[in-house]
Amino acid sequence: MIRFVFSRFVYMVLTMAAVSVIAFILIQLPPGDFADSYANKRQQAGAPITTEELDNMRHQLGLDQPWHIQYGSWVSNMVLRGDMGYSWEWRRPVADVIGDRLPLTLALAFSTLFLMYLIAIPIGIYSAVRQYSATDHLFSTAGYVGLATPNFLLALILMYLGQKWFGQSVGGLFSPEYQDAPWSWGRVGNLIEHLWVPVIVLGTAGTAYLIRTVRASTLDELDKMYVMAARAGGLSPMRLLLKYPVRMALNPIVATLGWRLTYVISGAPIVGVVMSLPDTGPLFLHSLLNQDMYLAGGMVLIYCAFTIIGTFISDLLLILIDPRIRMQGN
Amino acid sequence: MKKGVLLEIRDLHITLDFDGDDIPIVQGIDLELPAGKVLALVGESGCGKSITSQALLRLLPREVRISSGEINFRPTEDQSPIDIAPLNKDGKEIRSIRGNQMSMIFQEPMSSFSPIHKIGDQIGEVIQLHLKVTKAEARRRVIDLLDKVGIPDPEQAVDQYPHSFSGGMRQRAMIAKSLACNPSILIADEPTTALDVTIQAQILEIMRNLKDELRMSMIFITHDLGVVAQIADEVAIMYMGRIVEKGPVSEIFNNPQHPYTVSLLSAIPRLGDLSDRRKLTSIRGSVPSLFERPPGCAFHPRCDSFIPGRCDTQFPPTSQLSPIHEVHCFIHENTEKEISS
Ligand SMILES: Nc1ncnc2c1ncn2[C@@H]1O[C@H](COP(=O)(O)OP(=O)(O)O)[C@@H](O)[C@H]1O
Ligand SMILES: [Mg+2]
Repeated sequence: MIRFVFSRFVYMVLTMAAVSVIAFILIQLPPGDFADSYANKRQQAGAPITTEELDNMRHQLGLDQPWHIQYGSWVSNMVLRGDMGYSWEWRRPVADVIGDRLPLTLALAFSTLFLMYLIAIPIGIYSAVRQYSATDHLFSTAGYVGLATPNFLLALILMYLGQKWFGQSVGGLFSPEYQDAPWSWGRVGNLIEHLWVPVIVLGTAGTAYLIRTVRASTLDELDKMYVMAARAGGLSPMRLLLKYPVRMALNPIVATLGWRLTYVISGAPIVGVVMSLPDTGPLFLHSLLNQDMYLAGGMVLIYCAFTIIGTFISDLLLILIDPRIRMQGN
Repeated sequence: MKKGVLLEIRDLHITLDFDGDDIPIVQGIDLELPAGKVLALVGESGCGKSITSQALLRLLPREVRISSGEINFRPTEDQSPIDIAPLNKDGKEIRSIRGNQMSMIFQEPMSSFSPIHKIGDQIGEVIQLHLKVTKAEARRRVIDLLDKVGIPDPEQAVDQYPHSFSGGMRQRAMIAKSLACNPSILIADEPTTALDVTIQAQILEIMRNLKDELRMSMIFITHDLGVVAQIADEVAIMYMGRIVEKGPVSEIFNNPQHPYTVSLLSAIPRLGDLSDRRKLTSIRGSVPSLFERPPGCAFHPRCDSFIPGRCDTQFPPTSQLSPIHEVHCFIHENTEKEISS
């Protein structure tokens, strides 16, 4: 088992390394670089810079080096010193820029994930146990609607309704008075008041999907022979349900926790942009538009890291709950 | 209820709810299980054996229900019987019977245990549910039971998961589970069908010994009359949800009267008969689906003694060939009259 965990861990590190190369290449793919987009901006502002200045800038930023040298110094700085490079756009270290906003992204992602599971698991189980009942049909219908509604549309609808009914500006994550205030309980409360809208936007489709998964896997298990065998032993329906079919049905759900996390994290930027949240979403978008290379690279890396870590956590949980996998590792 | 009988099924009807239509699966069966005896329920696949056995413990699938009839049960002769048929299907009464006074073994040993719980815990669960014992005592008892059914190294087996057991070992463990609370009746639904021939023989041997040792009564379900000869005292032949013939094993084997029984018997390969392969016939045609139940005696389209206008209009009444031998077939209509007159 230890070996299994260790091999998973090594696997995770290797994936991370591979991802960092791909991230770096991706970021270099669009034509031009930061210097070009800077020159462009100056041009539009009516103050063009000279070719000499441009070359100078390239040299200073290291943009004239071959890509593998740039990559090498980026990665080694990151691994050795935790230095993710410098954001030219923000004129601050990438780590600081991301660090400012990442906690909000995490708060959003994890509260969404938490609520998704909290809502989907009981409803999925209930729908399975009462298959084809009115409630089951109701949840299924609601689920289809939830699945079919695009996130951005949902965001716009909720923002509109929030404005109209609560007179509350639901864009952003803070009321103006807390916007730049230091952290306090009041600010946390204010955050929670604003967080529900992006959480709903980000979580609706995923919750609908998760309900269907839980329902299907519970139904699968309910038909299994061992359920009848356990009933034949005299177990009460509730204990039986929780001890056998539900435990089994949770396996695929736990196993895909990593993907769910990815799903939430990758959905976050769009929601962030549409709702103008002060999280990493808009940051990521602008870094790409401005070819702010190290910031964009750092963001891609962080998004990927969450996916990989999520998968690793899924693997560990699976080992914990399923003896068959545990044995396989030995 | 007759003296010496522990379980009595009276005119039991079971139906399948198919989009609001009630499709009959079992159509009025009568059976009795005397104390200490083994009653075999025999018939081709699909004739309703499993459904009948599941009805006895109210384990029927959701879409299947008992529509009428009685299932009278008493754990011992001195107790008064209760009717299981009208009980709440997951209520306290039936749960206190399940696994305790009446227990069940299933056909698929590979899937009758949850793959993520230890064998010992799954057996111990039944013990702790019905007997007032501590966890340690329950564990002790599980080890004894595993030993009793011939599982090697029970001290270690108790902590293993089902996937490290072979099919035969799992069926042994299943037997151990069913015996956990010393039930007075054991229902075994094709317990050997899914196993290799040699393992089948071992399992039968174990069941026979344990039955004698624990003085249990047993309902043994099979589609194989060859197995019946080895374990049963009484046999009931079932076809499409009806009992067509029943009586003591020796009587049915030596003097089969229903054409269906006759053809089932001629389908058993007999040792020593290998030179005479022609005798090993299989029954013409196959069991129709529930939705195409032939009218009258459902067997008539496959029957060599089919009487047109008779067999296809009405189900034959009981012909009591002797006090212990009963058959439902029009070719015996007059035989009974001779006996009774
Ligand atoms: N859950 C179910 N839904 C629909 N039909 C069923 C169900 N269970 C059993 N049946 C039908 O009931 C009949 C009897 O089944 P069963 O008792 O399993 O037969 P046997 O055990 O004798 O092979 C078969 O025709 C089978 O198709
Ligand atoms: Mg069956």
